[in-house]
Amino acid sequence: MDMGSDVLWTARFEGNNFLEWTSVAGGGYSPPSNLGSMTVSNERAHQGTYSANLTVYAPADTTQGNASFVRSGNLPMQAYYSAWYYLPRSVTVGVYWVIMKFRLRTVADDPTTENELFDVNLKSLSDGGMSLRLYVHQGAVSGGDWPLQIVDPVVPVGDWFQIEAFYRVAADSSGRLTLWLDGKQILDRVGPTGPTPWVAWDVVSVAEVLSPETATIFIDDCAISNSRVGPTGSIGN
Amino acid sequence: MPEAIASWKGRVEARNVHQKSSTHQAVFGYRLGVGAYRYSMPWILLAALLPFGGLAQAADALQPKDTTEAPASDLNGTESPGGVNPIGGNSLCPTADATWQELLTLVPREHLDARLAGASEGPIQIEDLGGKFRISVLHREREYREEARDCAHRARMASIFAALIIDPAALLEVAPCEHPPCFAGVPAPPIPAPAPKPPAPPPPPIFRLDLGPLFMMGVDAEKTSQHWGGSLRMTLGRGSLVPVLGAVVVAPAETNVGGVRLREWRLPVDLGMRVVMPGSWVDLYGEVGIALALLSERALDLAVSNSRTALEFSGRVGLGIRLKPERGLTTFVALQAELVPDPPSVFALPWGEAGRTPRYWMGASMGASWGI
Repeated sequence: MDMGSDVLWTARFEGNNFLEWTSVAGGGYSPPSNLGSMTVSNERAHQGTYSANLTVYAPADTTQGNASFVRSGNLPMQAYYSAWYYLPRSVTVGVYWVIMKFRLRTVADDPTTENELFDVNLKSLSDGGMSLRLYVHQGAVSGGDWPLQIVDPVVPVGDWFQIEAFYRVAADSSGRLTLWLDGKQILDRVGPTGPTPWVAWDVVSVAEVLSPETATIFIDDCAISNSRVGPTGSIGN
Repeated sequence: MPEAIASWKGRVEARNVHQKSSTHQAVFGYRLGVGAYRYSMPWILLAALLPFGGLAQAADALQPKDTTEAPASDLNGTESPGGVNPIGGNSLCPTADATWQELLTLVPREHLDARLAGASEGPIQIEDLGGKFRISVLHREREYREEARDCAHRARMASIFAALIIDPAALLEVAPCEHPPCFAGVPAPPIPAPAPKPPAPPPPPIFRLDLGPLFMMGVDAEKTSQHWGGSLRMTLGRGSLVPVLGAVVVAPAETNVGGVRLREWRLPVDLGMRVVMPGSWVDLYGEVGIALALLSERALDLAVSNSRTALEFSGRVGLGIRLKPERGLTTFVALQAELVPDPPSVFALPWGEAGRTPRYWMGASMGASWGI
């Protein structure tokens, strides 16, 4: 018995295009302005046939490589945000490599008040592996990281991994951000988040100073859901 | 013949020993002085029949009389309308004829002939002693006081005494009742009224309807769902094994299948057989059958919520206890269980297959049972 769905939106790229992003209000994508690329790829996929290949160029001269999928506005006050990533190889992160973002507006109707809030970053470990960190742009620890519950959680290289976030926007203590890496909770912070109900969620590859300078990451099965998707969840039939 | 006489005399003597030791008092105010012997009951009857008005009094106990001392008398009595009169003696009051005629009214002639024919001497002798008279019948003798010398009365007295000796059974049949109150005979012992035949138990009802509220619970390893509703069951037939048809209607209730909140509603109908084990106060019964259930689920809080229905096949067993009586209205309590071999899957995003509806359904009900 198909009882319905708690999944609000998905981007599975199975249409071999980015229409899932561009066909919704507040949705879109932003390809790199430099040597990078942003394409639908059948090289690999988490489920189905296609995924998105985001390749950025982030040389040591601090030129930012930037490729982004964006959902801004028209998002629920609280929801689960899920995306699957694939790193073909290990990359040394010189400054930052953001793969997921939440943004805010101090005035919901005023685009000029839009600003950064949380960045989920990849970071390289001393042993050559990859891990995560959460950078906070606003609030008490503005400009710093929130420590994770699991120190240096391992991000697999050469395999799909899922990052899922529960984000409740609130200017008071009811706000909340929770992160899972492959189903394991790595962060759960309660407190003020965005000052207005306006929410933007981006699945991106934004980096400075990577080694090698050109770095590719595959993205698939992005979803916004009222219920947690989890590593075993299904976002489409 | 002499041997017969000796034998008869021996019996009489043996009786007299006993008669002397047990004299009975008559029950109607006059002493009969009759010894108890095998005719004791007819004697009592006789006392009732004798219309003496309290005048007669038994002289004393019967006196055995040696046949050798008995007045010689033969059976050559006078001819009378009743035939040859075997009464001897010289009594003028009562006369032999009058006594004989009275005796003929009491004892059938053939009985008299048969009883007296074997007597070797005059079997009946009457002596008029003035204010009393003595009668001897087959060597049993008695004196009656009757100073009024009412000869007809004396004849009746003598004839009754003779009849009691000769054929007491005849008295019970013919004794007239001239001066009531009197007994028509030995009141027959009351014949016990036949015990009222217990009314045949009514046949067991051919149709039974059990109706009552029901609590049903869907049980699975990870969840339960609880429903209140009503149960209706019907049986048809009188045997201990009858077909049963049932239906349950339960109110919708919330449940959770793998994280998906659902509002669940179920309508099972079942067909099976009921085995009834009657008891003194209650009847036990067991049921086995198959059930078909219409299952409806509606998602409660999904972003896109659907309602779906499915059919469930299940096996069903039940146990019940029902108070007597079988017919009419009584009370029952029942338990039931269903096993659904292939419960429907519940699918929803992002869970995918969130789980299945309950595999086991347990129910309990109680209510009214009506048998007709």
